[in-house]
Amino acid sequence: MSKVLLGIDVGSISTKGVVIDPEFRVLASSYLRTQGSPIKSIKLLLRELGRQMDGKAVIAGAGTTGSARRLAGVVVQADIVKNEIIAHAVAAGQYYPEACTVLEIGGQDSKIIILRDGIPVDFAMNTVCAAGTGSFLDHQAARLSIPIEQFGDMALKAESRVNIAGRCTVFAESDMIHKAQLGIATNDIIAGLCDAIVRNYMNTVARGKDIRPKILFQGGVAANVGVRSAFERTLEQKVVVPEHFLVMGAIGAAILAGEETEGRESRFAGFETADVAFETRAFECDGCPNRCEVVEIVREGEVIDRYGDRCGKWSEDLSKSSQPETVSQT
Amino acid sequence: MRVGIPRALLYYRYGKFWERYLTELGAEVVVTRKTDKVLLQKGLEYVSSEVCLPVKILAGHIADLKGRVEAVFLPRVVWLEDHLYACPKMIGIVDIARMMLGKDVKLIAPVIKGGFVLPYLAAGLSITPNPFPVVRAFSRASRELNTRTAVPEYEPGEKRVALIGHFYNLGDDYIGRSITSTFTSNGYRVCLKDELPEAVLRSRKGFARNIRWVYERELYNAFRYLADKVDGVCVVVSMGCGPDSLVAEFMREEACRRNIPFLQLVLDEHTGVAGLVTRIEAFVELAERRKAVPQAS
Repeated sequence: MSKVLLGIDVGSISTKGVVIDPEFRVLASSYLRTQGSPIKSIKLLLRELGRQMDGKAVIAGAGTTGSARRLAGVVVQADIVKNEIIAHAVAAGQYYPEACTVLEIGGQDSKIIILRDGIPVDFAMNTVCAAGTGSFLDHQAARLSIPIEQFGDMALKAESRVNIAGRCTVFAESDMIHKAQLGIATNDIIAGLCDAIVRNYMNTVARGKDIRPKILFQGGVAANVGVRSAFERTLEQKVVVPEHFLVMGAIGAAILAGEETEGRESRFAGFETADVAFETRAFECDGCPNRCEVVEIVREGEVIDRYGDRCGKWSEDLSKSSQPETVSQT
Repeated sequence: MRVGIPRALLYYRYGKFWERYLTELGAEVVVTRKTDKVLLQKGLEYVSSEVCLPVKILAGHIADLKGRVEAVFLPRVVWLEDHLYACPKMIGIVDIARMMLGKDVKLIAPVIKGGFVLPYLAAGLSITPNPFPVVRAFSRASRELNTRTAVPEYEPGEKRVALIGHFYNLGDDYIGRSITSTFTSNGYRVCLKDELPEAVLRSRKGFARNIRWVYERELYNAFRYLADKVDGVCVVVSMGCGPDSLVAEFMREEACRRNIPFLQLVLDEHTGVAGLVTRIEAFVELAERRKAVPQAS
């Protein structure tokens, strides 16, 4: 049986997973909505990937990334837990060694990564505001009763592009409503919204960055051809959407897991983890006025990880008494 | 007299001096506890959402002193030598304090414009009317002021990051600890502005001359001093801080020109520790990957 690598990317809106072979070809992939319960979606993801692989290969390494990377790493016993910036950069550099810029817009964050000779050298992420990210597009699509999948095509059909305020989602929404009340065609408004998202991205996340070709566009919003063409218009460059743009973070995590497990066995808990009972509990620590929200991850009745405490009282207490490593062998 | 000092903003620079001075004057000094969530929440109730995080925190500390003290000590720094100004919010906090405390609590707020000796002496007289003990207390307390002249030593081979931010942000564990500890746990020595001698921080050479804000000039000078001694520069600014956002931009441009890895973190009360950690981890790793391969461009 061939050895393959697993990568999981649990974001705020969607959960992505891939299985790749040693030549980094995608053998199985899955994309689903996180819908507020990362553990549930991680299990669904494992079940789906396990079904696609059908026992044909051995997982030689598993990596997790995304905002729930730590939780996912504990659940699947990942070999490496890596932040999403590195994961996206690694995947982009692997498939497109000549790429110099990665634009990434996900559910709740957006980032830019600058690569030179395949090496990430600079990055920026949106700061305290999530204006212009995927969840905002979702919300507007729902408000207009248009499936999000059609959003991009409608933008391309626009006859003229209206100006929508893009700095803030609240203002953008009222601006869109105002334009609609004036009788402007929906296509034109959607095209304006795509422009606004790109303008906001260029003025905040990408501000001051040296954007050189080749430019890749990754993350969920890359599915939207309207946003892509707005990027091309603004940058006056061709923008490439990689074949696996949705799961690039997961691919990166898998590649990193491959590097990590070189010469050793994987700790991966197996696709059967989909059937193990996991639970998360949160409690407010009353040890000091900070009232930290501590999260506990429970695997079949046993606490296997805790985090969220500023002082380390709960997380360190656990790592002293029972290491997650020993738990994985039970 | 029970005199309260809020453990916020300028406390992180002059706090020891203030405490000593008031104690020498015979006051019973009450310093608020370290910042925590409860204090921050209290502060948010009082000030507009437009002000920066450290001012919100200060408001929380002032609120905490209400009913516990007869007076609150809160100097108003307007400008220091060379007509270098403090930021407008810092100048205005005394008025916020007055609104919050009402008439029953005395506000001892020496106004510092240039020299600080006379305003502090005058403030001392409002606690003890006799000038002699005031002068004695002041000269004793002055020993607590920063008189660092030596520069820190940097070991060859260690990984270093310059953490450029205000003392009231990085000195406050509630804000700064997760930033410092993430760098430390990744094997970096954190080089802070406030380890540098006054002579470096107050330098008027080069572009620093054009910066008219006293604490921002310090940030820039620290950046200039540390830039070629570290593996990367991380600038920490408060959301909504005008002076910082300008000076940070100049630092970013210069770092870019000199090919130094640069990260800017923006803080407000919504900033989650997780987001900061993600950015710092990525920054550290990028800096290392970048070092491993000689740059073509």
